Amino acid sequence: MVPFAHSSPFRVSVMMIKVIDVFERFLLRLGIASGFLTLFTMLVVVIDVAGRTFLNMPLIGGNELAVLLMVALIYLGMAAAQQRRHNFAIDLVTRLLPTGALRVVNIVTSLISTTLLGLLTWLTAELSWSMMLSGESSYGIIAFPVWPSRILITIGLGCLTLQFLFDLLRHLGLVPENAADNEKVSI
Amino acid sequence: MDPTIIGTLLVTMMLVLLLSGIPIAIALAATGVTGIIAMRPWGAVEYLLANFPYSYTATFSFIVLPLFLFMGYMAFSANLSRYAFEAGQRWLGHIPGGLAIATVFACAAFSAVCGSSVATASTMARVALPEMRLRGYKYSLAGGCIAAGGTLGVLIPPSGVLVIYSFITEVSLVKLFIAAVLPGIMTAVIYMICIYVMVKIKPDLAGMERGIIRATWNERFVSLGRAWEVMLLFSVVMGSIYLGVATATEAAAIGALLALIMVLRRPNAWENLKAGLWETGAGTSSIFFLIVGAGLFSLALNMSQLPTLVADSIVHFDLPPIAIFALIIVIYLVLGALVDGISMILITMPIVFPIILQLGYDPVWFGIIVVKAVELGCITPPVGLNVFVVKSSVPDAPLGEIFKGCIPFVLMEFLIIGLLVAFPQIALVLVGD
Repeated sequence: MVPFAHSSPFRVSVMMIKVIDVFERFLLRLGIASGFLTLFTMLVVVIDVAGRTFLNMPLIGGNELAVLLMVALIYLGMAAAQQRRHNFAIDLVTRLLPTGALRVVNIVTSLISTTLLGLLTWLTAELSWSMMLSGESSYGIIAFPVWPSRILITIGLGCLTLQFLFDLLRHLGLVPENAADNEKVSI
Repeated sequence: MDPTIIGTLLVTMMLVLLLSGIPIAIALAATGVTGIIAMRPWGAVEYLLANFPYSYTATFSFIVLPLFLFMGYMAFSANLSRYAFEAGQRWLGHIPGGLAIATVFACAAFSAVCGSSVATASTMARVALPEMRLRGYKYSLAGGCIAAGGTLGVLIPPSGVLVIYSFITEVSLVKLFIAAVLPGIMTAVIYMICIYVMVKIKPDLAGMERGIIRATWNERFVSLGRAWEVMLLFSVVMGSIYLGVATATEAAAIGALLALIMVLRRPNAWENLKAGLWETGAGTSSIFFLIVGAGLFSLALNMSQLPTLVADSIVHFDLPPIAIFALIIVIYLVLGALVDGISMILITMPIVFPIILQLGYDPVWFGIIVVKAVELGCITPPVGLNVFVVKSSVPDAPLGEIFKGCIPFVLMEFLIIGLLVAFPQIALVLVGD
C-alpha cells in the first residue's frame, strides 16, 4: 500500500478508510463475479438455439433472460472496470502537466464524474422503484419481469458513483492510495 | 439560445473534457446530459435520463459483443495462434521472408477467431517473434509484421470494431462481417507481398534464413490438420452467419462454447477460464459505458440539429463528394493516432454518419474504410497500441525499431484504402442486397 502522504485540513477517520478499502475490494469481486455471467448468457443462447433446431422447442423467455444477464454483466462490472482503469481516456495533455496542476484537473474531473453518475443513479433509482412497485414486465409469449434489470442498473451505477467518489477523496488527499491496486485479480 | 449554437458549444465542451483526461465515456455522457438539460424541460429530462441506461443497452442483439469477446479470449488462452503459425511456417517458411510471411498468415487465421487486434498482436508476439529472432530477423521486420498483422484482428470477422460500428449506426452486422472478408484477405496478401519484396531487396532484414528446410507435402498437410480447431471455429461462426443458418448472436454463442471446450481440454483450464471471464466482464463494461455515453451525446446533438445542419452545409458547398470523403478520412487518420478505435468511432459517428448518408456513400463500405483507419491508428505513433503490445510481450525489442518496421505496412494501408475507394466492389461484392 502506498503511504498516506498528503496533508489536508480535513481528515477521513481510520474507520472510514477501512470501510472504503473493504467496499472497493467488494466492488472488485462484484466485477469478477459479473464476468461469470458471460457463461450463463452463452448457455441460455446455446440452449435456445439447440432446442429450436433439434427439438423444435425454443427456450421460452430465453431471450429475455439473456438480456437480463447481459444488463447485469454490463452494469455490475462498471465499478471494477473503473477501479482497474479499464475505461479509455486520453492522457495526451495531462501527462505534460506539472504535479500540482494535474491534481487540480483530477479533482475537477472526479467531481464531474461523481456528480454525473450520482444524477443518473438517483434518476434510475426513482424509475426502478416505481417500476418494481408496478411489476413492470415485457410483452411476449410470457410476461418476463423487466424491473430486476432496472434495479441492477441502479445498483451498478450507484457502485460506479461510489468508485468515482473514492477516486475524488484520493485526489483530495483524504484517503490513501488504493490498497486493492496491489491485489491480484483473482477469486 | 439557438439549438445549433448549443450543439457547437456541446462539441467544444466534449473536446475540452476529452483533453482533461476524464474517461471518454464520462466526457460524452456529461456533454450529452448537459445538452439535454439545456434543451428540454426538466420533466422530459428526468424520464429520458432515467430510462436511457436501460433502453440503450437491454437489446438482445448486443449480446453478440460479450460473446465474441469471450470467444476471442478463449482462442487466445487455447493458444490457437501457435498451430496457425506452424501451418504458415510449413507452407511458406522456405520462401524469402518466409517466417514473417507465415506470421502474417497466422495473424489472419487467428483474426478469424478473435476480434481483437491487441489479442492477435500479443499472442503472435509470443509465438512468432522469438522464432524470427532465432533465425536472425531484424527487430524492425519481426516486430513490424506482428504489429501490422495484428491489425487484421479488427478487420477480419468477427471484428469487435465492426460490432461497435453496427451498434452505433444500426448497419447490419452480418453485412459488415461479409463485406470485411475480401478486404481482410486482400490486406493479408498485400502485407505478404510487401514482406517478400522487402526481403528480396534487403535480404539482411530476414537474417541469413539458415536452417530453414522446405517442408514435405506430408508435413504441410499434417500442419493444416493440427490447425483444425481454428478452421472449425471460423467455419462454424462465419459459415453459419453467411449461410443464414444462425444470427450473429447465435453464432457468437456457439463459437464461444466451442472455444471454451478447447480451453477446457488444455492444462491450466480453470486459470485461463477465470482470466478470460474477468477480461470479458471488464471489457464489456467499459465498452458499454462508452456506448451509453456516446448515445447520450448523440441524443443531445440530434436535438440541437447540428449533424443535419453540418451535413446540409457540406453538401451545399458543392465540393465533389470524394473531396469531402478525403477530408473525413484525414480526420480519422489524425484521430486514429490519438485515441483507440472504439472510442474514435463512438465519438465521431453522431456527426460523420449523417454526412456520409447525405453524400450517398454506402454505409457498409464506409464501415470497412473506418476500420482501415482504425488499423492505421494501431501502428502509428503516439498511440500505436499494437506496437506497445509487441514491446510489452518482448521487452528487449527497441520501440523505435518496431515503429520503423511498421512504416512499409502503413504505406500498404494507404494503398489498400486507395483501392477500396477506387473499387468499392472489393468490399461490397459478397454483400449482395
